[in-house]
Amino acid sequence: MIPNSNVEGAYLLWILDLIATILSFLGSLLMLYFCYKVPSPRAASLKFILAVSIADLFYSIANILSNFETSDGPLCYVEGVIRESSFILTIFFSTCTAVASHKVSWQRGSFSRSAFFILCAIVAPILCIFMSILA
Amino acid sequence: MAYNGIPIILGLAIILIGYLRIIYKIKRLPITIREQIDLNMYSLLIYPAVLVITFLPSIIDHIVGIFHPERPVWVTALRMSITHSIGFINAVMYIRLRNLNQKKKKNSFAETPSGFDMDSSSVSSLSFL
Repeated sequence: MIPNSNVEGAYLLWILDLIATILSFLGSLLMLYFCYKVPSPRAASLKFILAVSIADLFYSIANILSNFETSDGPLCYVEGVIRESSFILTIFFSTCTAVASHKVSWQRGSFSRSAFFILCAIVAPILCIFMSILA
Repeated sequence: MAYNGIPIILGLAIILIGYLRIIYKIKRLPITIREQIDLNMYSLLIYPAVLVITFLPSIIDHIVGIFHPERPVWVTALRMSITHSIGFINAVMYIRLRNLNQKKKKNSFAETPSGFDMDSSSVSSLSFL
């Protein structure tokens, strides 16, 4: 979104978007760094946090790209795909974290966190493709 | 709205119900165990709260945009400044909870009686959080 002088407050929105996006990008990198610092084997909870932070990182990249796009060029399509996928993945993995926490507290013993994470990791790209086609 | 709003609302509903059920489960634990681990069950609501805070401006912006395409600038500004900083908000919450958990771990190791087996209680499942 390059500032358009015809739109009211366009420059303010552009500045706000840029600041928020850069903060988000740095925050995601910090989370990735903290997850990377934890020694292996990593817990399933950490893997979920890692997945959310990767999705956040790609969402920030899409927002950064949107600040430099001008028209319907190839960059626009790349940005669109990254934005929709990372947006869906952020919500998906946050929901999966809540579901896993809930299952751990209610079905203790019969629930495998690692197996659930693998299932989520398989479902995530399928969901991304499905939602991208819908979009 | 049909595409962008529904996954957010659905996700938020699942997350909220999930955490409320976890709180219900914790409430059923003996009070002695809850006191020993110094668990504030309402702190669990921070997770869905972060998502609500992050995505609510986006939902409001979509809804206002449907009824008033010429929406005020501040609605868009709110969405851009909060929804686009999701990574930053998540990082702040993660670091805050990480520090809190580390402090709690230190305290619980110092105060827990030697006979108390953490793994025998369902409280250990909360370490997942």
